[in-house]
Amino acid sequence: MTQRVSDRTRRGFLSALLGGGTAAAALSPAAEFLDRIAPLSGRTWRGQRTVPETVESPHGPASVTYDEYHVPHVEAESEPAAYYALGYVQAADRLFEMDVFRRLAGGNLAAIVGDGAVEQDVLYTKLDFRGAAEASVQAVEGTEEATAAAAFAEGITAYIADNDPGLPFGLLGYEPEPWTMADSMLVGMYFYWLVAGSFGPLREGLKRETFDADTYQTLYPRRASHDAPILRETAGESRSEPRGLDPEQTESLDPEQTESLDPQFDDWLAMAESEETPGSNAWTISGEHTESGRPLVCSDPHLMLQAPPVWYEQRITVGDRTVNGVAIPGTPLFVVGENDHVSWGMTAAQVSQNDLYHYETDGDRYRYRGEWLEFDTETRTVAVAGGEDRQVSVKKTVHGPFLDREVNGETRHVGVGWVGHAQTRELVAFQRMAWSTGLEDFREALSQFDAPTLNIHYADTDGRTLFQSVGKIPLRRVDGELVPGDQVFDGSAGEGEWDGFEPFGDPDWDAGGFVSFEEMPSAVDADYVASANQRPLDDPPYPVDRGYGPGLRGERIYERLDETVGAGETVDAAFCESLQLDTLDVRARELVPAILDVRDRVSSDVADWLDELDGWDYHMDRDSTAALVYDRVYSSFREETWGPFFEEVGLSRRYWPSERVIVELPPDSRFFDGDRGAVLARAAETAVEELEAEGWDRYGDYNTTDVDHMFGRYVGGMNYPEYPTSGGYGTVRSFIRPSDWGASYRLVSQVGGETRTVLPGGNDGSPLSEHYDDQLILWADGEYRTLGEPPNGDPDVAFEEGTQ
Amino acid sequence: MSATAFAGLGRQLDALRENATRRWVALAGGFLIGLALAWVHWLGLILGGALVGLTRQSLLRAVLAGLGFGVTALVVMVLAPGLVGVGAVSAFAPVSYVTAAIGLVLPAWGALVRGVR
Repeated sequence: MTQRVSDRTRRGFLSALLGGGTAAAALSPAAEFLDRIAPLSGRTWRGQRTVPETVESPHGPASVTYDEYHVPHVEAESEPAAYYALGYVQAADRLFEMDVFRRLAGGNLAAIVGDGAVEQDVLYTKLDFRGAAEASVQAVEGTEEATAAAAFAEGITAYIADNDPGLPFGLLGYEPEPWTMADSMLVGMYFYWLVAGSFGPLREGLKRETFDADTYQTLYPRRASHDAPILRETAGESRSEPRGLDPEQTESLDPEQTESLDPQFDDWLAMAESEETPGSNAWTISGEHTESGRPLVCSDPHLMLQAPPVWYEQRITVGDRTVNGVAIPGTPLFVVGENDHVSWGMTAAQVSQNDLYHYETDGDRYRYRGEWLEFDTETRTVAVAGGEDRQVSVKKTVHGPFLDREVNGETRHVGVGWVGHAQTRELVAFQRMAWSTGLEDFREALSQFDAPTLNIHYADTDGRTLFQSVGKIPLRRVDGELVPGDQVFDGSAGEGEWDGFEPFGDPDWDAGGFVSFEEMPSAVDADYVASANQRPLDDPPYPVDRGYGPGLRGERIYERLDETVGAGETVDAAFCESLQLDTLDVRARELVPAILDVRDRVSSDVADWLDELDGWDYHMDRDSTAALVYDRVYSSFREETWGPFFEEVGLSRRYWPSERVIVELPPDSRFFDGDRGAVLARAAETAVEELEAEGWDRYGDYNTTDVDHMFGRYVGGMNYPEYPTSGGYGTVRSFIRPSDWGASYRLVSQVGGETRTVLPGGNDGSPLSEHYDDQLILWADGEYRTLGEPPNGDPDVAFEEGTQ
Repeated sequence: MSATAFAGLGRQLDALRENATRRWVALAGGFLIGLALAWVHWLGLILGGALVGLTRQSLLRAVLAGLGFGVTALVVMVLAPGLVGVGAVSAFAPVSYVTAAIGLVLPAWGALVRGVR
């Protein structure tokens, strides 16, 4: 009897445990988790990306053949058919990445990742890049290029409809939405803002408010001290005529405008900026100076390094015309590339395309030219995964988006006027560049370039070369006078406006509010021209404000070009590769003698490490111990010098001066408390302590390809392997280890001849693919691959006439 | 289920467990049905574990059978065409480790039903 009762109790307990436990799992949030990752049925494991062998296309037949690095070679008889196929295969390889770009730019990221992205989403929602994208769709409506872009978007949507979206979607538990041409524009807007938009003027205000004039000018010199602007006497004819603006001109701030200047407000705005300023190297060498007689175009854009890469390599053949190059995933645009006739590369021109405005406001209205106007207001929802959705009030003024935020009980605001918010035509410009057949054709395409500001390097099979700055540069006026845009303008007084500009409308680019295309820096058939984000000219013809780079790379590129091409030597593609991979740090030439001088002020152990710098060639090579010592000492030197100083005035690292400044301060500068040697000695002690603790012996022990996937923090296997590599911040071979930034693509094109490229990763975005990171080792080792014809044999994907 | 029906089912299970051939055939059937169910929903892992567990002669053996079923489900997941393949195990670590743990725990959990009868 007792045994029976005991059995019954055990059975009852087990039944309750099983039933209750299973019901709890099925009804609790654990069910969603199990839906995603349970074996066999979990969506994550169902999402293996496959591309069908045949796909129906409403635009007609096309074929896709992948080469040995998984670069799709698309062939079709019409552009829409080709772009449809391109959209399909680009989605197959990068759907998650393009969706993340779309969500980031549209303020819709928290909907998949939760609370952590809400504040950034609120900012992007208020910035309304979606509205900017829709305006640009209107601007290109009815063009052949828009038809191709629409077909590209249809191809992405067809892929989404036909296939499992991929592993990350399963992991995050969501399905991608269909793709539109406006989505492609939106992704573009994100990058255009990254390249030529910023909240720098607000920071300039804070700097001026914080420092006296002497300190301000010492820390932030308007002109970097180098003699290597992009266009020099050797560059041939320059089209630009100075407008007589004083480059040293600075305006004093109206006290009212300083209301916007708050470090916490700035921290929020910085969420829509990159950690590093987008840079790049590019140069063109005339065929008269090359061994083959063909001109050379070399380009390596510097952007975030990530897994998968920020670029997608692609090739399209339509009839007898072929174009290949790289596009930002989610867009069809060949940003850097070549076709049968022309090659082109580019760098960021570092000229701002936005202004900031402050207003007199009562909360619901703002004052403008003596009248009170209602904000153009709309409420939008920022969705939050696993949290409460946020309602966001999107306000606009006559200038553009109005960004407001409560900081310490007070509402801070700034108005944004940005060229990209108007109906801009970069889709047409990029497409026409890609399919152009010669110089006039290409320049005509460039003339339609509105955003962002870029420096384009071009050469063609006729032997012509071109350097051309593009993008609309605003001309700001206060009381009729041209002024630089490095200040927050009084929006209520109508200061700093651009004639002809209408946010989200159809601007009149020729109304005098922008530098005309004919006035932009340009050089035709020059011997050689190099740009690396330095100033274009010594005497700028119009106000520039973003602040050009310190010119470290530009100086070195011109140094080597002058020593070779300038001295009458002929060069080849191998020379260009060696120049893209040049690791000499020009700052080291200045600073290393000073570091060697402090050997008698440090411990003998530290002095032994510093001895490595004696006789060093200043090259940041991965096998070099001297490069390791220099890099870590320099890093500590900056920390020692700027860290306490900026902490005391309450400004973040974002306000630290550019890299050239610290090297050029006199040894008895007050920023070193009158003794640079003492600061360097402390920096050396700190650096040696760090590298001994880490066990680093060579630069490559520290300088590794630490390139991660967006979710690599949680799923380590999606990150790229770490390979030792060469190069650093100030070298032509750009790799900034702490922020994962650097050469995001390398192209060396002998126009009409061999082309060599490499990606810092692989073309396939699936971590399960052998092409996920197959080019990373080449990139890290400084090697290239040769672009070739598509492989023979049957295509991998055949697109057949039909309706999706 | 009425007490009579439950007792009848229990007797049938007892009879099945007594006969070695029927026991092993039922085990194989439990594996196949369980895998089919687990293919469409994670509850199939629990049900599969329960099915194979019920064919065993003791609770301990039932749990071992459940674990065996879980290992089989994981092997199928790695090898089955249309799913992610072996590369995912390393590429999606540590998520794949959690998946492996789920693949073992849920069937073993289901196999505990053997303790009811």
